[in-house]
Amino acid sequence: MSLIKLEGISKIFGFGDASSLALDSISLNIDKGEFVAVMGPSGSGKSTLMNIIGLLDKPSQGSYMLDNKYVARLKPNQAAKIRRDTIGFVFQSYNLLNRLNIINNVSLPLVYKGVSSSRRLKLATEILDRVGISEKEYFYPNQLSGGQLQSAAIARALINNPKLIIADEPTGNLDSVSSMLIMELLTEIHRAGNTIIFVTHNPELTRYASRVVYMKDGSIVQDEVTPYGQIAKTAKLLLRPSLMKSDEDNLAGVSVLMKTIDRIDKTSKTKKQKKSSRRKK
Amino acid sequence: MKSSVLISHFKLSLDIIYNTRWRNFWTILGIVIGLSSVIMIIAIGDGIKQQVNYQLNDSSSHNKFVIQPKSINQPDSKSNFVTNLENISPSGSLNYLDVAGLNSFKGVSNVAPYSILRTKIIGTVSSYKSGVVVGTNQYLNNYLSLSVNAGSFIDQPGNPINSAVIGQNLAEKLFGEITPLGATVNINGSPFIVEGVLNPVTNIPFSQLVDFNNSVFIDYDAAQNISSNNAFVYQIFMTINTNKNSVVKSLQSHLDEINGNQSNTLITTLSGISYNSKRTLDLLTRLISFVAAISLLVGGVGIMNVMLVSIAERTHEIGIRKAIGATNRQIIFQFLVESAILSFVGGIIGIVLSYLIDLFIILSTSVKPIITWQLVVFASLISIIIGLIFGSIPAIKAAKKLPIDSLRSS
Repeated sequence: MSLIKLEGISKIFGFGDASSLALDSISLNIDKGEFVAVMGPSGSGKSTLMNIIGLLDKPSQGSYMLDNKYVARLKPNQAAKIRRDTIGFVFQSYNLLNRLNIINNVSLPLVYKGVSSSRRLKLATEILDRVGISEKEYFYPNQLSGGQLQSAAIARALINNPKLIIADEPTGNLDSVSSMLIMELLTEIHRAGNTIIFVTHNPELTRYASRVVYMKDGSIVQDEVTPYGQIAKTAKLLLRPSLMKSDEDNLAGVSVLMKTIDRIDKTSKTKKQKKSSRRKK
Repeated sequence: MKSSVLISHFKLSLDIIYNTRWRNFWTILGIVIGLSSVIMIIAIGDGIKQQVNYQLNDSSSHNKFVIQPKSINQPDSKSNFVTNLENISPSGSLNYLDVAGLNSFKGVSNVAPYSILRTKIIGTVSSYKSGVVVGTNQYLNNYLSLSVNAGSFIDQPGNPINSAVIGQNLAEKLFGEITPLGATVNINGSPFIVEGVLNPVTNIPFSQLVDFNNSVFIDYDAAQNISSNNAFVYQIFMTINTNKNSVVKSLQSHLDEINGNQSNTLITTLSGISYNSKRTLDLLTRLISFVAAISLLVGGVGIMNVMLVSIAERTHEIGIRKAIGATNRQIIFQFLVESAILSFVGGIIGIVLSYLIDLFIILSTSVKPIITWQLVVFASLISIIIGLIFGSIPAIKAAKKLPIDSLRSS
């Protein structure tokens, strides 16, 4: 059964001569439990599509059915309630409130639902434990690394137990190690039964997806199902030979390299710990 | 809306207000000044009105009448504000002939002329070139609330005709003591014996009555004698118990006849004159309150400005909040709480400030402003309403944006 059903969705920005077509009558079905990667060059309309699916923006034309409800022409307050209860949004720039500490940031959607303070904290603690940053509960966003911030943002998206998680370039601001961690986290969430749509520029990350949608100039140009753990065929064409490095590249920024090694060490340790704990369970 | 939402909005607003306290300080200052000036003006007006009521003894009584020169008292509903102001100061006086024969006029009793003579007063310690001498009789006490601290009022049985009662301030200045009973005060060359000293009197600001604390009260006839009938009669108080209308009519025609058929006197009830001065005060209070209300309005606009800036700064935050499920109403509510807190704090400080100004005015002038609890409640309500009205405009503006538009701004 399809969770998302887009039919002839168009989005026009601007007026008159200055108008541009960001989405050109897109039709797309996404079933429950899919893990969809959306790829495409800048300006191809990926983010606009995500915003429309996430009810942050309204399409200029077309119909959108989310969880058997037509949602393209909802009133602002109804849309807000669906955003709150059905959709979890993860942004490239995390979009956490700097004024609030992590646990309050994560529990913020519950505030708007009217959940009591003690229950909010309990749920937020649980979810932070699930994403693996429970020890950072009372830190402020400016005290955390990018990966930790994105984990917190995912925790916030998860807190209302949404059916759909939309991630607009969740790893765009992260280094490769953190990216992998975040993708692992999303995979775990996907295994728990959530439908996930994510936008990425990185062909490597199509490994995690069950389906890859390619966009160009506001249209979907290709849509392929890909086995889990493999880079999608079309994405492979985009893959740059990033492993080839010159000697100069290796010499440049030794200190940075050292740090990376350090971090890899740590993360591999935590991964091992996680794996071992899973085994115990 | 559930209480947990309210509490979390409240906490957040306090946090935000604290973080931008310098900007908020100036905003609050606008409300403080506006509110305290409104409170002070209303309080001063109330205070003066109460003092008028206090000095005109039992002014609500319908038996008590007063004869005045006509130009002082024209209760004309059409007269505008400016002519009312002119009417505050007396521009004419009654003739001494008016007083003569009133005592024996049918239906009239307890006649108390109120005449003022400015002349030389000599005591033992100091003297005045142009002191205030009030020529009246024992009935004056029925109309004005004067009380004797020591001794007795003039014209009591057994008192000599040349007895005098003096105000406490004057007693101290003339004789160097508060109760100079039996001392001789020389008024315009004639000796008078001090028979009594008044209690301190609260003076009415802007009133045509003189400062009783610095006056000598002597018998009306004696006053006319020593000044060869030159004591100005400003008012004649009297009591008419029965047939009020007909007595007043015949009295009026009697007075007109004395004055050569020119009707330049007017008979009104005692409450009439306090009504008139109250009406003038009301007009004044209203005018100044209007000016003060404008400053309150400016304070409100200040709050609106701060909220506009604050919201512009936080558009991105609004976008995030909407993206995770805040409804428009919840966003508006958040900012309303913030502006309500701002204006409420401004209101509280304004009220405290007006109490301080009140204290200062009481200590330094004869005006006694009255700040009632109703006024305080009214003022706080006004300040919160201003905050809500001026806060809601930017809040609604902020909430109406599409979430993605808010998110894009940084």
